[in-house]
Amino acid sequence: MSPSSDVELIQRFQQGEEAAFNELVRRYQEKVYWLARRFVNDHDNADDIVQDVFIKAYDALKNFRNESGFYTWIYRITVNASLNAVRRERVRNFFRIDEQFEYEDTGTESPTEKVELQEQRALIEKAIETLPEKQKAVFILRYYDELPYEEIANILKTSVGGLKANYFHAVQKIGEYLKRANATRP
Amino acid sequence: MQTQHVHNLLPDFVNKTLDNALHHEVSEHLDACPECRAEAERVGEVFRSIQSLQFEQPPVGYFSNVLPRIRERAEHDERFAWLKNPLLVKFAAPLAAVFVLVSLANLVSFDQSSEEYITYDDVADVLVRQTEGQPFANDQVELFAASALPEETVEHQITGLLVANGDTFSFDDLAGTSTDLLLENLSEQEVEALLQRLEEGSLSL
Repeated sequence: MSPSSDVELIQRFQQGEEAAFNELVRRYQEKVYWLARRFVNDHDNADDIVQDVFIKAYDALKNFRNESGFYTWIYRITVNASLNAVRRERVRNFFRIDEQFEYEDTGTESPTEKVELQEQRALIEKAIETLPEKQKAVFILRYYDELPYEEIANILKTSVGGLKANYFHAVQKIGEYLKRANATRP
Repeated sequence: MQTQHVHNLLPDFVNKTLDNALHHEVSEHLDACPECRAEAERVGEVFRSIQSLQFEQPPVGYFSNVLPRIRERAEHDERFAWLKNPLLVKFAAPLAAVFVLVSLANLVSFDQSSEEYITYDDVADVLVRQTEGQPFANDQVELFAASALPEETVEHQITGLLVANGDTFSFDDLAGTSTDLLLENLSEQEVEALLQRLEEGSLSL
């Protein structure tokens, strides 16, 4: 039996079949999680976003008219929720006196390698974090999710025109940030 | 393509996500344009750095727990969905205000009905209204009652049994009792007013 399409699942859910919603969650939970995770760089925050996105979807699906497609719609909700989370985090960081880095044990590297890897990871995360919101969204959706520009335009409710420039400028800024940071490293 | 730079296409060129024809065109342009070639090098470096960024995987079993948690929250939200009713939200403040006002009104009336002691002014009012016939039970009460009244009322030579609200206070009840008991039957404000008048010398028991 071929799997039901998103449209079928939504219709079944709208007719009262709760299991159809479960299937939608199972189908999209990893995509939503990783999209959120790339915005917020943190599992707990990403998890909060996943919960919020699907709860919002659960409420809104009852009246969903499938104009943009579930995939585009859930991505849009996730991008917006992630950008809001990033804004909240910026406000929190503004009032944070000191920042603690936790080094996680990946098990295979030597302590020096671990620190270097961790530092490099933090640097790249920071570089992506400092991008303007739109550039960041375009970069994540294009690079990590490999979405076509038309789809990104639908998700961000913008025209395709400027997206390639946004993508290029995002890459350029990440490069400049890494260059500056590496130049000042001991 | 030969005459204009292709910067905006470079990320997709480097990641090989352009269609074949466009990829070929950009490639030809890079052969002829050192500026774009240098830019393509920089873009390539950035992507090589980013590729080294491996996100930590979520905890084991995380994805199998997402759905039950969402279900739990959705059911909880549905149980309390009535709280999100727009009508309730719209009228919540006025309803709350009405509730508070009604509560306050009840509190006030409750206080009034349950008050053990009539006020100093009430005594005066009752004395004015009930001035029929019978003599005061004793001089102390008469004196107190008289002193509680405005001077012009005292001049009316009030006599008679004074009963205020029957069940809550009766001058008759005070007949033959001590001044202490009289004071015990007064509210704090009445006692205060009484003390003030004693201090002023306008009342003596």
